[in-house]
Amino acid sequence: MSSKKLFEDPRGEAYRLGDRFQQGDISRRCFLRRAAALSLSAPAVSAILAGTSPAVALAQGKVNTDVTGGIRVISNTGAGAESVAWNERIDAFQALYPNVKVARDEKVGETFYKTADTVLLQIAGGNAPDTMRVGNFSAAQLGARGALMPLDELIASDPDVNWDDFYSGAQNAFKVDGKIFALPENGESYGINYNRSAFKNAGLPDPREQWDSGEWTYEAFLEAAKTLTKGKGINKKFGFLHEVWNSENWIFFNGGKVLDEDLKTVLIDQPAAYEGLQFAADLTNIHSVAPNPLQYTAERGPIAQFQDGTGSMYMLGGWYIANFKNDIKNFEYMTAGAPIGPGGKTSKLEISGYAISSDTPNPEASWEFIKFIASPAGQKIWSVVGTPTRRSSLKDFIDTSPYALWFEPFVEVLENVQHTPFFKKSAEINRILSDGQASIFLGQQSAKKATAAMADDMRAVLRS
Amino acid sequence: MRRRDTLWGYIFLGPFILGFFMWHAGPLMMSLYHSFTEYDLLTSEKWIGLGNYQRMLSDKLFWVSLKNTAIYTMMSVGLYMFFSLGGALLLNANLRGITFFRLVFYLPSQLPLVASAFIFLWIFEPTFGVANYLLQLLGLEPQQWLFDPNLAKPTLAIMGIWGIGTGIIIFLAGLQSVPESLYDAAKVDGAGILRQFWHITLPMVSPVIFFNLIISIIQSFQVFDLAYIMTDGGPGTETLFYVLYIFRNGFEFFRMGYASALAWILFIIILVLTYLNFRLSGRWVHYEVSSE
Repeated sequence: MSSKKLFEDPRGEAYRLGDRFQQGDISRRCFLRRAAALSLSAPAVSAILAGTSPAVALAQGKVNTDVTGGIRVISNTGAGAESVAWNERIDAFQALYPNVKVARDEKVGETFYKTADTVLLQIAGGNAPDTMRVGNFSAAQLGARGALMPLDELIASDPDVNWDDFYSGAQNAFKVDGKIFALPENGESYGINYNRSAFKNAGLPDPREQWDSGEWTYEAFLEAAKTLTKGKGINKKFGFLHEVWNSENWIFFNGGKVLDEDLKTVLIDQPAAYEGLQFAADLTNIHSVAPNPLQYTAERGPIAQFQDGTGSMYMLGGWYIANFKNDIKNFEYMTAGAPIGPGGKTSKLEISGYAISSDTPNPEASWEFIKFIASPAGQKIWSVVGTPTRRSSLKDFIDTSPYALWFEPFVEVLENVQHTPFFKKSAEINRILSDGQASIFLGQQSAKKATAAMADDMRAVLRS
Repeated sequence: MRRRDTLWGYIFLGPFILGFFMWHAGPLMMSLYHSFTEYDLLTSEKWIGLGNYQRMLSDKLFWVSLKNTAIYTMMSVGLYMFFSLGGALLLNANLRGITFFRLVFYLPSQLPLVASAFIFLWIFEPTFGVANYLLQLLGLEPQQWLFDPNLAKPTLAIMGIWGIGTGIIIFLAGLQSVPESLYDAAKVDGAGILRQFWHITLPMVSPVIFFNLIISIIQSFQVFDLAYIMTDGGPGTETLFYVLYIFRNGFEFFRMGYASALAWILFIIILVLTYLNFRLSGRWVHYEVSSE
C-alpha cells in the first residue's frame, strides 16, 4: 500500500517532490510533510533523503561505475503511460550505471510488427541496435538467423538473473533451437472481460465466482452468452465478442495444439484443435451470440462495442484491463478467466522481452541493461503498464496494484500459459493459421476440413 | 565546340545517370542475382540456381496470388477505362464553369492512397457505411463488401474509380485534338451522336486509349497498398495479390531470394502482356499520318 502512490503516478507528484528536494527547492521539513501526505514508503523517503533520485530509490540497487560505454536501445511503446514508464525505467538504469550512456530509439505508437521491420532493416543495413525490445515471434526470427546473442551462458553464470523466478512460460518463450535469446519483460494471458451489471440484471450466475469455483465451463459460458444476446440488426446486443487473431486460444482451451514441441509434428488437424476452433466459429454461425470476428472495422471494433455495452463479454489479453477499469463508467466491469475446457485453466501467452544484438560492440553494458529490465526493480516500474513475468514480482504486483482484483484470474493462468513453438518458420506457420481460419469463421467449411488443408500446408513448410 | 557541348550535356546528365545506376539498375541487377540464391537478409546468401523458380511451380499461394491479381486487373482496368473515357467525354463539353468540374474530378486522384483507403473503409463498413445505406434506400440487401470473399476483389476494383482523374486528363487531351471538321462532315452526312462516337471519336483517340490501357494494366498488376492497408490479403486469401505475396515472402518470411524471383516473374508477365498489346494494337489503334 505504501508504495502504491509511487507506482500509480510514475511522473507525478511523488517523483517531482523527490526532484525538488534534491535540487534544493524545498526544505527537509517541507519534503517530509509532503511525503507523508503522499504516503510515500519509508525506503523511498530514506533513499531520497540520502541523495538518490526516486528512480534509484525504486531500483534499490548499488551504483555501478565499472560498466562503461554507450548503447542504443530500440523499442516500440504506446503513447502515454507506457512511454512514461519506458523512459522512467531507463532513467533508473542510468542512475545505477552512470557511466553507461543509453541512446533511446523510442517508436511511440508503433506496433511490435512495425518496429520489428525497422529493426530488421537496421540489422540488414549494418546499423543494428545494441539492445531491442522483442516479441516472441521476432526474437525467434532474428535469433534463429544469428542476429541475436544467445544468453544461456550469461543467465547460468550471473546470480542476479535468478532464472527460476520466471514462470515456465516466460522461460520458454524466447527459446529457439534450445537457446534463449531474450530476457522476459512482461507477459499477458487472456481472459474474459464482462459486464457484471448485465449478468446481474439477467439473473445469471457471476462468471468470476464460477471461475473461482471451477464451474465456468463451456456450457455455462454458452448459456450466459445466449441469455445476454438480444435484438437484431443494428441494435443487436451480443453475449460475446472475440477476435480471429487470438483464436489460437480456443485450440489451447480445448487441450489442442498447432505444432508439437519437436517442430516436426503438425497437430492442428487433430480433434482437440479443430473442435476448439469449431466451437468458436459456432458462436457466430450457429448460436448467433457473437458478431463475426472477421468483420470488425477500426471504427467499430470489439473494444468500442464492449465499452458501450453492445457486447456483454469480451475475450482479450490483460494489457487492456487498466484502460477498461478507468474508462468504463456505464456498467460494473469485472473479469474472469476464459471458459474452462479440456485444456484446463490456460491461455495463449503474449510476451515481450529484451534481446542483445550479436553485433553489439558493448555486450557488457547491453547485458547489464537487459538484466535490469528483467530485474524485480525493472519489472516493478513496468508493472504500471504490463504484467510482470517473475513470480516474486507477480506476488508484489497482486499485493500492490490498484487493479489487482481484475488481474487475478489472468495472473492465475500464467503458470499454465501456452504458445505455439517459435522457430525460423513461425511467420509462415502463423500465416497459414490466420488465412486458413477465414473459411471456418465465415461458415464456409467445417473446422475439420479447413484444418486438414492447413495441416498439409504447414507440413509443406516444415519440409521446405 | 561540339565536343564541349557534348561534355556539358553529360555533366548535366551525370547526376541522373549516377542515380539511375545506384538506385535503379544496381538494385535491379542485385535482385536478379538474389533470385538465384537463398537469402534471408541477415546471413550470407547461398547459391541455389533455379531453386526459387522451381519452388513457384508447386507453391499454391503463387498461383492463388497470380489468379487474384489477374481477376482484379481485368475488373479494375475495365472500370478505369470506362469511367475515365466517359468522364473525359462529359468534361469535353464547352460549358461555362467546366474547369471547376475538371478540377473536381481530378483532385481525388491526388489524395494520398492511405487517406483514400480509410475513407473507403468507412464507405464500405457493413453496419454503418454509406454504401449499404444507399443500397437500403434502393430496397436492396446490405452487403459485407470487403469481408465477403465474393465481393472483396470487386470492392477494391470499384475503389479504383476514385483515381480516374489522371486518365480523364489524358483522354481530354486526346479528345481535344480531334479535328472539329470531322464531326461537321459527319453531321452533314446525317451521322448521329453514337455513330460519331464509334466512327470518329474512338478511332481518333485510340492511341490515347492504348496508352491508358498499357499504363493501367501495368499499375493494376502491381496493386499492393489497397490490400496491405484494407484487407491484409483477406478474407482468407481472396485479396492476396501478387505484390503483397512478394512483400510477405521478403519481409515476413525472410525469403528475400524467393521474393526476388517472384518479382522477376512479375516483370516477365508484364513484359509479355505489354508486348502482346503492342502486337495487337495494329488492328485497332489508328495513328494519324501527317500530310507532310
